Amino acid sequence: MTRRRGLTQFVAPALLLIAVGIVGGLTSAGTQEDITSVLISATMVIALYVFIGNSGVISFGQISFVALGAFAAGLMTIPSAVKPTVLPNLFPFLADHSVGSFESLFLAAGLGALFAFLAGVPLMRLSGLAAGIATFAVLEITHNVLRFWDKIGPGAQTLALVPEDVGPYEAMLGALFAATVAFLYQRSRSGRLLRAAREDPAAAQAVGVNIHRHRLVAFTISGALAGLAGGLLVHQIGSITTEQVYLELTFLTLAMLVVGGMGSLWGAVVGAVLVSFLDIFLVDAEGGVGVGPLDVDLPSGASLVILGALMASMLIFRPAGITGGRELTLRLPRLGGRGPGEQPDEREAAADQPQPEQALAPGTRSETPRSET
Amino acid sequence: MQALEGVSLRVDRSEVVGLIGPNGAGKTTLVNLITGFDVPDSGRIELDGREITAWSAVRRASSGLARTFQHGHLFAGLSAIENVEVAALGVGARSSHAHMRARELLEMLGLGDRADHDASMLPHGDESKLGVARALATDPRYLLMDEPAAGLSEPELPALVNVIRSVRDQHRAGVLLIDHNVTVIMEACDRVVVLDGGRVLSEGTPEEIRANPRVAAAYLGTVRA
Repeated sequence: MTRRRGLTQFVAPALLLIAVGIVGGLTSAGTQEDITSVLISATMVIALYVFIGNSGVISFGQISFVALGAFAAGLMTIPSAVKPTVLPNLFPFLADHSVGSFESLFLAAGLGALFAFLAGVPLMRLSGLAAGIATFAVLEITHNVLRFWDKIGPGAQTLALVPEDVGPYEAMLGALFAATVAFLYQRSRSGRLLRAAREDPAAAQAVGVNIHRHRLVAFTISGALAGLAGGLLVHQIGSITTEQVYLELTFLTLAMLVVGGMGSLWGAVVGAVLVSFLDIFLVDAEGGVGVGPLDVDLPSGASLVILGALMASMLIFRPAGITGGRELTLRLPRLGGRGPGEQPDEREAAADQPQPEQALAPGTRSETPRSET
Repeated sequence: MQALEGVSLRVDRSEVVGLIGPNGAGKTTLVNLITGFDVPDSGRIELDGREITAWSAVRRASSGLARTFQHGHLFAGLSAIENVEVAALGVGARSSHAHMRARELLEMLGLGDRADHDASMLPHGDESKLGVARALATDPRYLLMDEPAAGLSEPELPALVNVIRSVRDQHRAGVLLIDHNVTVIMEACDRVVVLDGGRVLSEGTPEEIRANPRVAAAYLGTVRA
């Protein structure tokens, strides 16, 4: 049945995140930092996916919620003893109160959700180009408020002295949580209706789907997960500036979603993991690294040039991303059943031939049918 | 530009009303106005005695006014059964009930073995039926069908006529049927309204319409019935 089959679609993204987290926990301190960033990026991309993937509407604004989450979680965990000294202009309420790092993640997610909801009420009426531009405006507004209003934060300065207590395992738990929420949402009534509306808005309205409402639900959940990712980020690096959660991060996370495939959770996770590792490698290569016998030394800025080219080529040659915008269904081997490692590859399935092993989330127009057993 | 002028149309729950007219007569505009996809400059639309002129398309759909589209407008990328399930969910059915209802409707319309096929891969005839199944999943009291015979081959037409009649007889929903295919209109309808240049040219039983010389001149004469 659909429900059972659906659960098997959660296994692949979850296993990938767990694998990255465990590998991360076993490596050197420097690599641990990298792995932690990979998992936090995955959390952000999952947040983007919840809205963009399910609704089919582009948003350049989700990093606003990451920014809000990062600054809120950072600001509220700086010890109150030093807070008034380093941030003298703060509102007294913000200066006088502090919470623990764990609690600050809830705060980050809650504020992300609240902000997304408030911004979403007017914005979710828009689609296409208008939605892209309006969400970009949200990013600009957020950036400038955070950058210039020193009663709520450090302004253009770095927010420092934030406890650094997110490593690979914490980041893994965060990413797994985000993946679980994203998975539950896409299986929910709202998620299913939104995905139908993505395929054909007029037909969806004709069967009573209030598209605005379901987009707003997705946007709010996306805002919560983005806020959470911001909280994880600030507790990983121990500081944050407004530039770190602005254009470059918007571009990078969108590239991850596009490369992986925006139609599926699996695509979001794969894209985030692959492109993050690639990005880390390219940034290292800008300072010169050895790959086997080769010495790779890229000019400064090369990493973004290469990632930009990769994203553009993906949109031209494989717009559904490397996963084809589909979920990957993994099943545990059964006795007498198919052997381990023999996973169905939905890419090769004939389009008019339903195969019981595969269940594909609605993603792109060209995908194979979903089967019921 | 006024697409429609002085058109008055009434559909009861126990009948299939046909709407014919040459291209540009305003048929699709009328469907869009009735289902809320278009806003009239003046005039009044009522559903079971309640004025709904200002209602959104979503609210009308949830209140028992369903429609099908020309050329499918199916949810591509979703399977046939999901297309129907989503429609039931859209008007508030519980998820398990939606699944059962979708199965039922697909069986009834002869799409049972296509349940798991991607909607975008279905042949024209099935596409049209799936559009009807999806509309019926909203439990409509009235169904507006916009050219369901378009793209169908001659041998597929009798099945379509049966489907249209079953909407009236089994689902007890009134049908407003728009089509160019005079055979389908004449066979499926209890009453026919002829639209020309945004006005009602004639109205009556299929026999009366067939016998009306003005209708023949304006429309029927150009189509072999």
